Amino acid sequence: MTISSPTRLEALLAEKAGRPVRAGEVVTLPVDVIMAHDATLALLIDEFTRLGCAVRDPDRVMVTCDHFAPPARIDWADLQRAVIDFSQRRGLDLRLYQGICHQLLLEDRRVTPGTLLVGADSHTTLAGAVGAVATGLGATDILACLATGETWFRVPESIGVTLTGAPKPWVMGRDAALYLLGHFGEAGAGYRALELRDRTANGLTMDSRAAICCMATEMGAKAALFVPDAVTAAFLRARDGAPWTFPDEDAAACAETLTIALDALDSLIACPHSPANIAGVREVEGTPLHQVYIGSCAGGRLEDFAMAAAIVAGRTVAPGLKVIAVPSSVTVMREAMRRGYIHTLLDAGVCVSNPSCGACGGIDKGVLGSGETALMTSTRNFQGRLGPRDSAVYLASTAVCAASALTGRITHPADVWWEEGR
Amino acid sequence: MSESRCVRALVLGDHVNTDLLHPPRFFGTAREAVLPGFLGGYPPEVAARFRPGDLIVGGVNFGCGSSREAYVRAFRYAGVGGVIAHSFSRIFYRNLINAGIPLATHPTLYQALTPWETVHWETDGWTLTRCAGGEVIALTPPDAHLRRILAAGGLLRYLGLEAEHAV
Repeated sequence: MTISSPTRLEALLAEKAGRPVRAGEVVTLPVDVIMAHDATLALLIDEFTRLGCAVRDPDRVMVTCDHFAPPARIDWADLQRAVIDFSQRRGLDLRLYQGICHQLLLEDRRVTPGTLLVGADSHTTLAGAVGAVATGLGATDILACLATGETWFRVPESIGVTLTGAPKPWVMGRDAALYLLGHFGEAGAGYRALELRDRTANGLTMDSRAAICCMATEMGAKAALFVPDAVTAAFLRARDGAPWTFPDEDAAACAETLTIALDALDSLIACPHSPANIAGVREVEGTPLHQVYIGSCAGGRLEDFAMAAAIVAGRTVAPGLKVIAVPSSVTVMREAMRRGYIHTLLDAGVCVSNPSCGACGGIDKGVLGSGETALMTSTRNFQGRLGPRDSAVYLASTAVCAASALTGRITHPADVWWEEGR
Repeated sequence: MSESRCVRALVLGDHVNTDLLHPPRFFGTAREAVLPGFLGGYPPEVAARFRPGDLIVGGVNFGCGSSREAYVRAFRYAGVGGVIAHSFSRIFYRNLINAGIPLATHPTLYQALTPWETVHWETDGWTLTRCAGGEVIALTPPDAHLRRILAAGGLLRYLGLEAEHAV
């Protein structure tokens, strides 16, 4: 019997455990960062208070108000009030309407390669973009983490994913995520971790990496992380001013491996009612739309605003079509304003709203009415999430969303932009 | 099998997501806000037919989607007696165990049972009995670590954060 070298996940978790660990075993580990937001912390405040718990290490905690931002219902305003009061009373890092929890973690200096991060939200996997081991938990697990500083993990098996080639100009990280969803389905990466290596011609942006890691949870993955490289180092240097460098490592030995050749990838789309119900955009083009949404932790970053602005510049969105764009953080919004993207979108007739989860969760602005169909960059299109059972949601990249915003129908981005040689 | 010990099984399919089990617009903490959303992604007759103690039986990747435990509250308020699925989505799985709601896996039960079939699950054992005919079906329990949390009545009691008598 040969003993294989550890996967990256095994190595990172072994470092936390202070001993070798192997996939399949259950370990209790101290966590580096704990995140909870207004729609999950609200569920545990009463319990936490009733049990007389204390937050073990407030410096490790981030609390965001992003799901009800600001609240449109009295009962949700009440829940959020409790979250704000709780956070202030206990000296927690409260981010009130500063953006989506996962984007704020990506922008936070506490989140670096190897950081063990748990968040009370399924899309916590996003922080793997910088090489963190990040996973979502429910409110009760987070309550226990806040009180004890640790939680249990089953060490996951890893799937090695290598990205190669040079993508077409309209192909984004989101398309790679949709490809992976088509490959794995909703459960194919269940309980496992994705270890992603970027071997593309020019390196994927951190924004694209974030979109991929975010969507890994829709494949059932416990975590998804990019092996830190030159892109990671440049991102961290710009963010923290710290001189990170990373060796060019060989791929860890994963039981299952997969290569995505981005050269061959064209725009994909997830059809109702599953994020893994994948088709090529050409297969569903022409489908009439009532709403287009560009935002969420899967698609509201600076590169999304750059792409949207490039596509709609000098034009107007289709008459009667609701087009909404929501930056994923104040930092993103400020930079998008500075570069003129927000102006361009406003001139085109796009409704630009404040940084928040926006229409993604079905609990804030941008829900659907009966029989309405939306195309969104957001995370999920489960039946009934955004509106009644007879409403429908397609998910695609910002390039597809922006192109479709101009026509009011699902439209391939090449048809509205590249045909004119822009 | 005495009829009185039998409950019914709501039989669902693969990839039953949390938005079907409890749509986001019913998010909240209070019973009157949360309970109306129980099974709210399905036609209304499904929730109307569900009685306290009934089981939910599902397929692959049961509970995929959100981490928000409003659905756990909804399950508690509706009196869900337990959940048996082919497999569970990981956050949902932890959430149910943390709440002390019994669960087990079985690869084909959701295909074998008829809709609303009457069954009996002695939840401290790991077998299910079909009330008509008396067939006994072996279930797969959660692994040892999770059984300890379940046996303690949930995570907070397991960790000693909550006394046994507190709830």
